[in-house]
Amino acid sequence: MSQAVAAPDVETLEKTSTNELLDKGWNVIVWNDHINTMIHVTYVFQRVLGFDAVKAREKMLEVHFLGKSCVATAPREKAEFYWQRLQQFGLKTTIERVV
Amino acid sequence: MIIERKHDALEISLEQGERAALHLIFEKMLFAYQMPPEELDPRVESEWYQTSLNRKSGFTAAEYAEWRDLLHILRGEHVPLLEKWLQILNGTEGHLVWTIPLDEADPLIMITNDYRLHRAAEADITEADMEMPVEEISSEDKKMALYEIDSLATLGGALIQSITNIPDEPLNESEHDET
Repeated sequence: MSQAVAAPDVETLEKTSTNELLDKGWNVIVWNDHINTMIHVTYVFQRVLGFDAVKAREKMLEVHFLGKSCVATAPREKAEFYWQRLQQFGLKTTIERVV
Repeated sequence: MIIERKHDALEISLEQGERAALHLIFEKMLFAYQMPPEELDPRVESEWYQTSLNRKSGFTAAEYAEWRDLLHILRGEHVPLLEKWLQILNGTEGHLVWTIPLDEADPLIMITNDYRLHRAAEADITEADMEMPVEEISSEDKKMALYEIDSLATLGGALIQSITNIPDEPLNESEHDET
């Protein structure tokens, strides 16, 4: 039996669109640690983030020398996906909102 | 141990001792992956589920628990593979040529790396321990842990090299200069 569907609240739609516009994205940060090897980190960057060999090594060296590297900026859902995949490979990873 | 790429598979040649070592590692991970995270050694839980980093991200306790449980479920998805590999390693004694399809390479890399992290956490391996000559380490448990961690780093590197062109090389001269 069908039921009448209430029209979406215009104010709610406007607020949602504004929030999406204001969300500049989320940074995915990989942190240095003393157990994961360089080749492992480089491989994971290629595998999970789709980096080519040069970029993967460059980002790995950033993690190694600077202690951390921002490896991606993406909408929250994608950032969380990267966060999850990188952690599955044992990399120390956090996400933070872009300000 | 020799690892060779053969079309869409990897052939891993194992001597008896290497088989036994891998068997122990897979058994330990099979057990750990089925244990609720809160029942793990707290040092291992902290290492595997990045407790302090997630607090740094501003996760609430509820958010942390949700993410930790998701990662635990994902680890649990490796249980059937571990059971299969243990059966293979249980086979006839002596030298074994273990063939794994390419799509099992990533899980193998994840699992062996998980073991390294697990062992390092259990044995309280510090950055200083990693850089010290093994003979200067006084604790026998730390020595054994470092040996295992190092051996699995070699295995992990060999696996990765067999499926990619990534060289397992130390920093070159110009990269050293960045310090």
